[in-house]
Amino acid sequence: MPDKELARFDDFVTSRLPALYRYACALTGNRHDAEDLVQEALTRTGAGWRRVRRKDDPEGYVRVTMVRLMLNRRRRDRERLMADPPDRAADDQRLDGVTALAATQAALAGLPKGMRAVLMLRYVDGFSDEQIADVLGCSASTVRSQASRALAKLRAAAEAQEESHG
Amino acid sequence: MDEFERKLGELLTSPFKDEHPPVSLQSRILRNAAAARRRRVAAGTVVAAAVAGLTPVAVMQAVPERSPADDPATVRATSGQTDLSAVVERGTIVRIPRNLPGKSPFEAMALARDGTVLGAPQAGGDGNDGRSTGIWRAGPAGGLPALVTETAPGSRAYLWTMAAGEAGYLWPDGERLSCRGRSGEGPTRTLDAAWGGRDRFFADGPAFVWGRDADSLMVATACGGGARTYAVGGTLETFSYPHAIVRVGAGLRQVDVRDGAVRDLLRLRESADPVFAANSRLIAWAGGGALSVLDRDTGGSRKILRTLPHAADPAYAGRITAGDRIVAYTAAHQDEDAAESVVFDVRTGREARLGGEAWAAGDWLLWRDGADYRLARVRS
Repeated sequence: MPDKELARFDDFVTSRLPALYRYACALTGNRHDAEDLVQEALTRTGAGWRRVRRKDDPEGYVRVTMVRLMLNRRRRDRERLMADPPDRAADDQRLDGVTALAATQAALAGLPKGMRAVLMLRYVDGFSDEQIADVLGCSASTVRSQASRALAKLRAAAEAQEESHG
Repeated sequence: MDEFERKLGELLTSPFKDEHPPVSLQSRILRNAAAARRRRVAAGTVVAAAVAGLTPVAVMQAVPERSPADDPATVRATSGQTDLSAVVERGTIVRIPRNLPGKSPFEAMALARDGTVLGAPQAGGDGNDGRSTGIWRAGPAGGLPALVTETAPGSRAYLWTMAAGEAGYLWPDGERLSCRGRSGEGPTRTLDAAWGGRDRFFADGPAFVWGRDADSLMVATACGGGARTYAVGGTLETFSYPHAIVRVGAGLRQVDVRDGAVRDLLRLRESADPVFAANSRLIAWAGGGALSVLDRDTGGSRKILRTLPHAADPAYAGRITAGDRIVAYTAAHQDEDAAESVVFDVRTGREARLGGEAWAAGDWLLWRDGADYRLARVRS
């Protein structure tokens, strides 16, 4: 197709798809939903590529699109890829940190989509609460509330794991 | 932010740091984006038409399909009017209104040899419509398009083209290829569930043909029947029964879909990707701003036009169709409802420039004229 803009979109997909896919995995906690999500977000981006290109940060645009798409989707009854807990308790003190980590990741995987999206935007993308509120279409206080509740769940999971290992 | 929060970004992403996208994902994205892009029409199109003072809907419905006002074969051109009376038979011009009840305006996507026009309501601003948009048909007698069949909700973005021939109708249903039988009759079936969404497909004479995986040619003669596969090692570009035209690198190859016989035609010189069309006598292609034809009997090729509209503008995509006597090239804006066309009479060398889309098939010419389409027989 004799279109330099489309060639740039193809280049963008080629170079950034792996990173965007991993972002989608982290966002959904689910490889299958991640595949659907990144496909839909990039398809929409490609359809309006000329407009998107005028923005400074196409990759950021795709990430935000994925967040919005995920929150707008119906919850899907699909396999969740959760961090596997260890098969049995381990006595090795060096593994304490590892098991706490696994517990936190398991808790992360169990967070509602909205909370996960808030954490992604805040701790991966580095957005302010006001920017997150703009993306999610809610107030900054709602963002802070969601983040606070999510952090409390994660801390509780990590602390419970540490306590169980003395 | 405490230590726990500082680690959260890593906690969120580390379980997936070694993940890689499935091999097919990139090609699916590019295919879907291209399809959505072709069909994406700015949401402001309808508003713009109203602002421009085009005929109100109620009046359009009241006007008969053929009227004396249609007969002066003049159409809106790039500047002023183009007289098509040297190209079409005046008394055969009919009007196909674009206003569909409860839908966005009709967008033509295929013209068949018998004058059948297939299309769908224009896509919404986001390129996808959550409701069924349906497959619609207008006949050679003109008049409002009628619904042929409903389509799956959300599948509008995949409808980037359609095909109609003696064997029936074809259109994309997501990444599957759907069909109806002769004259659109019978149930809607899936002709190829593994088609993929992007390869070209055509209907001409008694056959459907479509590309698969950029190296295979599929052929079927009925919507509900089986398909034959030819490993052609190239991309299906166009079709005029019984010959599928396949591009292998810079080479054009003709494949007889009845027996798979292959004949090399020519090597292309254009660096840009051309678009192709064929009839029983010629193959036409547009690339690098020029329109060329190959006489399939003599093997001679020549440039017939050197100044195609919007050739250097990446916002426009080219499309070419071939009738028995004329070739129609359209440069259509990929994001807006804007197009320019050149209709070239291969026998007389005359050209007509139009300020809208145009299609040629058999002895028919379809063109966009403001709020309507017009369909007429080409002069013999």
